Amino acid sequence: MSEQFPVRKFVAPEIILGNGSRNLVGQYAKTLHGRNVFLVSDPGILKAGWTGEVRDELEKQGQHVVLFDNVSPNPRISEVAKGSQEYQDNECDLLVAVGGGSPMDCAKAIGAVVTNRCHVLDLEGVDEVAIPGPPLICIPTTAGSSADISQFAIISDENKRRKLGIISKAMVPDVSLIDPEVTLTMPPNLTAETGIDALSHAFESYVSNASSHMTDMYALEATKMIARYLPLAYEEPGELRFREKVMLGSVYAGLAFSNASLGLVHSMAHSLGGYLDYPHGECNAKLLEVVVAFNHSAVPERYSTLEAAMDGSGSCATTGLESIRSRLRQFTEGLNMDLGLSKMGVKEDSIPYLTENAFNDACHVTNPRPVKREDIARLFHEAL
Amino acid sequence: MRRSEDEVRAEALRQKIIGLGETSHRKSYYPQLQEQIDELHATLKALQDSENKYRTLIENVNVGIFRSDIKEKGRLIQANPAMCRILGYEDEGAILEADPDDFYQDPQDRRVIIAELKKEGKIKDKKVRMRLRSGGTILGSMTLTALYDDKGDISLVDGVIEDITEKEMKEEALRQANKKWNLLSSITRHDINNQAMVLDGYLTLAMERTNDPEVRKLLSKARSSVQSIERHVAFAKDYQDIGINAPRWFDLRESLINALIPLDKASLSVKLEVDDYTIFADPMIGKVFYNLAQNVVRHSKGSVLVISTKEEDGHLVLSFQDNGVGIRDKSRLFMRSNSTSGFGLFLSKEILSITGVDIRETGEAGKGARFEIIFAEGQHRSSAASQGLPKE
Ligand SMILES: [Fe+2]
Repeated sequence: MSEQFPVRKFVAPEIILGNGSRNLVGQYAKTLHGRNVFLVSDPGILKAGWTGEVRDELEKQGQHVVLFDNVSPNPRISEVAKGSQEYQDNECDLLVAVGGGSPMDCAKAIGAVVTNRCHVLDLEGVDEVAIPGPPLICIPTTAGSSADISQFAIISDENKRRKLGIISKAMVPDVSLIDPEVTLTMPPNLTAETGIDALSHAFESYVSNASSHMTDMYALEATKMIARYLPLAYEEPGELRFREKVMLGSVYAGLAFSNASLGLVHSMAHSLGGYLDYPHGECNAKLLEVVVAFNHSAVPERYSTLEAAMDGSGSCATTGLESIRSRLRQFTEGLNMDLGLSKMGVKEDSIPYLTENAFNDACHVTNPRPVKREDIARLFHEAL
Repeated sequence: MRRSEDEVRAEALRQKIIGLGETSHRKSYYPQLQEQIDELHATLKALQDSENKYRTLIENVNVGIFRSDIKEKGRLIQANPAMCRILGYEDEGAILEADPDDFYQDPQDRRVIIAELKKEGKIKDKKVRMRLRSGGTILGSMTLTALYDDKGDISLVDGVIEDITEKEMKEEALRQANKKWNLLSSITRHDINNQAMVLDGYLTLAMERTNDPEVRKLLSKARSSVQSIERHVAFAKDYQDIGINAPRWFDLRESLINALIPLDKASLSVKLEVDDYTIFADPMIGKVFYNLAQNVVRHSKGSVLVISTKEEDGHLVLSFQDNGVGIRDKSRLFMRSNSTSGFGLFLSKEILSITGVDIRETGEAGKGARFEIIFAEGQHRSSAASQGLPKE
């Protein structure tokens, strides 16, 4: 086994990228032998009009459509259960998800629950999905989660206030219709949150101990594009050119992290998001810097490369930890993201629970520096 | 260095995420697709079962089944085991190699049959003298159906052959026996009638020679007995004819008119109110009609007879209504032993029952008799449906 050229797998859905690609949804539903589509979305996207447009497109191609928009920003176990029941009651045969990470993750979980006839909790972990779900077409409306590309689905356990991760190649969607136009309706704060999520994906997959040449290439390219264009899209939400670049960056980050997996930022963010029901991107924003500090000594050159990518240069000059920390802080401040978990309402006494859940999350197993419970607890303290 | 449990677990998960092991599956299997494949398999299996079923059936039946290729000089391309057995070939291979002319005692028959098939497209129960491989003869009954190519020419012929040699011999023997029996019966009747006539003559003479009332009474009774013998003989003659000729279709009105010609029109007026129908019946049906009309005069003492038709639930009801006294005791009406009406009604019922036609009496005593003959579905056709029927 060569450390220089390790054996790695690379899995991706069929990706159709470009403005207007959403209009192919009817054609693809037909190609995948759908007749009765279960359309998963959320109220915000429904209001923005995208869900209705997709529905019309599907019906134009003779599909019967059952709409399910009962999805919270952090999709819940009960919502997956309700969705899979409705899917079966209506005898649907195809899933279409329109929205951000929430409806897409929810749709992925619904599909797996339907075919495996189980509770969503039974699917938690890696490779626990024995039978893939029905055909799934994703139309992402945010540029960040990359749920339309990845083998991950994250669901909130609302009773235990934690998140569970379903990680399996079987969760990779069949078709991803990536259409930058639909991100035009995103408000600036959502643009920033989801963009930071994408940047975290790029960072974590690049330093992951399961990374490969292919994922490295995507991770670095993603870092460059997001660092350059996310602030511009944030300033000028209506400018399609910037939206395209941010979307592309997000896709690259998705391809990278789906195959190289993530790290401690996501383990802690999942724990935090599950506990406080806080937006995923915002959790990442508050944790990225402290985790970089924790990891830096394990892979300093990798972080230097990432910093150079953020600056748009190919320079390999080794810069220090402080340099990249300030670069990240500057970036998040530019997007008006407040740092400090205490502002989110995290208290000292919640930290043991947050720590336990983060430690049980599978993302950090590919973190470049091995993680112990006390490390996580310390980092939560630091991030307060 | 010993690794902790957490480290071992983390490494195992990491390997799974990298996904080179057996548990890592790409999404390439859809249950829906599998369902469709399963369905297809089930259909194919059913098709196979059905084919096996028919194959077994064709291989096990006792009639010869074959397919021949008209364009290949009528050579057989398929023949079941019974076909081989009937014509004396050891197996299908042998019979497929045979020259089709060899199946006929007179090869000319084959050409006649093909010519007829070209004209009609179908041939049913054709009796043909067939030639066995050994040279012997059997009588075959052949049913053929032509199959056409896309130009409309006959390409293949599907056929069924039954060996009716034995059946035919039995029927012939039966015919002969019947003939002898009829002859014997008719001679005997004739002789009995002659003797009865002679006897009646002597009885008449004897009555003229005596004035003794007691003796005359006895002689009169003796003459009644002679007449009774004559009636029995007449019945035997009629009964013998029933069922001898095959039933067929008759025009209802026409057969009624023909049947009622011998009737004494002075004592009975008949009103025919029947619609256009053809009926399926024994050729002796006319005797039934005549008998019913005759009964009006003889037993019901009526002067008017109305014959009419109506349909009830697909049945055709032909009714004979008279204005006589009607029938009080109906219990023994159609029985052979009912001597008051002679054997007429019993005979009528027998004639009708050959084709399954029913008869009943539904009149009210005192208001005339009403006989109803009921032709079930399939035993009658309205005139529209009977158009194009060959005229008998
Ligand atoms: Fe994420």
